Amino acid sequence: MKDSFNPSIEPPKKTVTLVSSDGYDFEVEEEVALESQVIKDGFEDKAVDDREYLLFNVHSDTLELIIKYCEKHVSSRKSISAAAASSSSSNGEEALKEWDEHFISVDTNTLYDILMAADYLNIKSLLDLAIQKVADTIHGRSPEQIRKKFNIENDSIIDPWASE
Amino acid sequence: MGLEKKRKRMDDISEENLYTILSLTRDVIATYDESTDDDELTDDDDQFLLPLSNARRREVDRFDSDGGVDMISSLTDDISCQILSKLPPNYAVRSSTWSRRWRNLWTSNPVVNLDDEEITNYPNFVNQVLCFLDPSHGRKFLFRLTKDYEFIGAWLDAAIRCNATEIELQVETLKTFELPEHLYVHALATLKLNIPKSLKISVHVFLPTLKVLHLYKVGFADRESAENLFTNCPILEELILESCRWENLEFVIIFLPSVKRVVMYDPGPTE
Repeated sequence: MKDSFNPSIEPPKKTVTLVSSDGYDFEVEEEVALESQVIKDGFEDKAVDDREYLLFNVHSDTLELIIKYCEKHVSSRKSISAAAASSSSSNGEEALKEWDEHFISVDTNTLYDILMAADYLNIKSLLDLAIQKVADTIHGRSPEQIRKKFNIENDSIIDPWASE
Repeated sequence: MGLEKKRKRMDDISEENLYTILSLTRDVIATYDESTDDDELTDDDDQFLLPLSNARRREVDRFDSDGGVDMISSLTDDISCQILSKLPPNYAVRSSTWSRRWRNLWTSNPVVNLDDEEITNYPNFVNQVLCFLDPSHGRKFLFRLTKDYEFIGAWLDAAIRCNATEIELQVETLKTFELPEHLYVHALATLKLNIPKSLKISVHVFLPTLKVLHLYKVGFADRESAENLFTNCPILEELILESCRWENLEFVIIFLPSVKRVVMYDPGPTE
């Protein structure tokens, strides 16, 4: 009886269907979808047969990227733990970091979409990655450069730098 | 003029105050070449747009501007604050000049990073920041001090008044550091100390709300200091002792009746 709660026993590979806001179906493996805390929570509540999730806030372009990210993280987590178990040296974590870096090097609009989707789906590592990316973009720039970069309209009545 | 006054009153941080605090972050900005003077919005042109509310104006501008959408200003406050928390302190404060939407956002930052190597006029900066922070949010403070400051006790006090739930204090001075005696803690749940040289704690230190105490590379000045800390946390649940130095103590009594988890970790001397 106790065994059924043992997390080390791998569940049989099942798939979940994610439906994007513009109506595309994405069939992904269950463990990939469970990277999202929101889906994970919903999963525990839902009946077993219901395996379709409508993501009203996520466009298919963004969802594709998100799934790519989750798949990569699931697979590399497996290979890292396998390497640790066999005590062979591996630079899996560094490679993953590099991959993340490459993954998040996108234009501001895509970054915004990823940020919103990661927040909506509650994927903490991806949200942190995107937030860090925005912070890095801000770092080292003057307010004027930041306004230009992000198209922020300067609607404040005072400009502390203007007087000098 | 009348209109301008009206608009001014809408801003929560007054003009003079903003000037004061921004002047402290000025030194960094001075190094940028300002080649964008022509693009400055002139206030005169602005007057014609006044009847529209700011939110409405932003909406209009989103479609008027050539392709660019102001993505960062439409993020939720929560995410915006998380972004600001990842920045060095002076950058976070300077976000108040971007636009009115960002004017007060940094004051609700969940993490306030006060690293004295990032800022030249550190005492002044910390005083100002602690004045402005919005005390209605619980937050984490990171103090990293490489010099001696006389106000450190007052800063910790002020941080606690700003609803600090977590304080991380890193002191890298050569002197003995004494934890302020009369800290009035009412929400502080986590305290992380990194004080490699020597830490002195008086018998009056009392931390009734502390649940997690993490000591990283702490050297105690004497046995009394260690015992004062280890007996005056009545509801402490987690004690983590990482790479601490115990050479000034022969033995130590730890009296923490409520503790649920103790971690002692010492990887041994490095180098």
